[in-house]
Amino acid sequence: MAFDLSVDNYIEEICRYIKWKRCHFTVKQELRSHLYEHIDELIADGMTETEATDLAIREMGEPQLIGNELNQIYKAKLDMTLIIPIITILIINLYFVLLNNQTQSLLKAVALLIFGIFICFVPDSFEDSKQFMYAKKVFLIVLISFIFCVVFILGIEPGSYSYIFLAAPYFWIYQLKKVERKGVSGMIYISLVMNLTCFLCLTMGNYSLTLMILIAAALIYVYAFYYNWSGGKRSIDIVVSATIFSVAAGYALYKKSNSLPSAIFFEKEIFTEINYIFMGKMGVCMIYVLSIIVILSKLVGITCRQRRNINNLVGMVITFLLTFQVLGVVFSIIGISLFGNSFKIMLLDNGVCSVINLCLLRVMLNLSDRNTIDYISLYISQRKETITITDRGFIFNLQIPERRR
Amino acid sequence: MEKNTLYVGNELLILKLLCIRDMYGYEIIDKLNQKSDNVFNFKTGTLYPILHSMEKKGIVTSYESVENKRIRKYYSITAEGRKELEKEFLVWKNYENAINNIINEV
Repeated sequence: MAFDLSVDNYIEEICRYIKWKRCHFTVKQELRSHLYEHIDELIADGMTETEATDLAIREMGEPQLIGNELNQIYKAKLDMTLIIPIITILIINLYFVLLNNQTQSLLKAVALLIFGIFICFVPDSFEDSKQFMYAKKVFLIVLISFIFCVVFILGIEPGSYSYIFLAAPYFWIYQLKKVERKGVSGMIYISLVMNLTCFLCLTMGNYSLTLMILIAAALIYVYAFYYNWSGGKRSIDIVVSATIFSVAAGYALYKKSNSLPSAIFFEKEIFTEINYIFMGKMGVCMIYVLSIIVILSKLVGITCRQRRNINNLVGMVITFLLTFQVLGVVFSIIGISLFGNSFKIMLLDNGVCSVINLCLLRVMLNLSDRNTIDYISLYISQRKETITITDRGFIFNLQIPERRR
Repeated sequence: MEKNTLYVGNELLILKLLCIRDMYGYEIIDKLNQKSDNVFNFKTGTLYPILHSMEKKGIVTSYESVENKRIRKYYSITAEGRKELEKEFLVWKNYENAINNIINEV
């Protein structure tokens, strides 16, 4: 059918100029729908099919022009802000691989590393529309396999946390359908922060875990009140998380020492030294690392909106992880209560520490997003308005017909 | 036929339309033509690059809907888009005022 061929050929011609193949499916679908709608309308007005097709295509414009413009939008750029974190994560994970001298640990670490790379790159290589379509399934498979690997086969390893961060984007893609590649970038930043913090904590001294719990709890509630006060509606998740976390942490300490006050002073006996070193300063380090990222993102020139997207994504991921970790903590407590298993104690230890750190990070992100970044964005957007007029970025000719003059 | 050429922000017009309700590409062009009494001769092929770029910026979002056995990609304005609309509107007002001031003086 000449009719179908000409429309399809025209759309193919447009897509020929778009180098980023992953957007072809959606672009083709949208343009095809537009053209057929126009053709139907022209046929209803009395044109033949061929005439209508020709006119609709002519009115759409030069395929090269449209293709080039779309190509500019979807142009794959060598995004150093994405590549540098990926390389850093891999290097840090390799460091953990080399750190474990025992063969068994080395195998575990290598398996985790491969698993992480797989999660990071393979699902991301699919076309966006397919990612959206299968995102929930991909997310569930990744989550189940992660839990299976970590809990039943590999056990908790330093650095292994990073891989769940890489699984999270697909959940959010499914939820929002607009995350695109930025989602992955957000996860990678979080992974980088986690890994870097682990790395830093290795070489730094200890902080009191109890103090961290108290500061975290206080900040969480301040944050919740802040949100309520400012009319936000998102406070319920953090309040629930904070309550579960506080109850879980308090119950765990109480369970191990029979009384809460004595638990505060003997936490070293409860939490092993290695986890103390790894996780104790994590929250504090995270804040510093994140602050550096926020400053760097400004310096490297990404737009305010992109940064806000990253911040929003990070905030959502933290909520998700908080829920996950809190569930882990509850699960561990039940396990300890029933079996007194030492492995579960380790799990609880890691879980509680992660919850603290994530809460701190979330608080920091939201506060910075609402105050400092808002101020900066206002400044930039005001400047941008002037630029918009002078550079005429998105403009078209408004032609006033003679009868109007 | 002598024609005057002015420059108007595409985003302002599209965002304003999307404030009324979610629309698909073809509908946007149609509405622009209708509302401007065919003053705006919006070239069809230029709309989609603009819409896609707006989506990438996060000021509009899209979803697909099947109607009359045809998949339509609807665009809707985001919270970020509403803020952008306010800003664009102010820019346009300033621009309009500046022109008016000059014209009135002359």
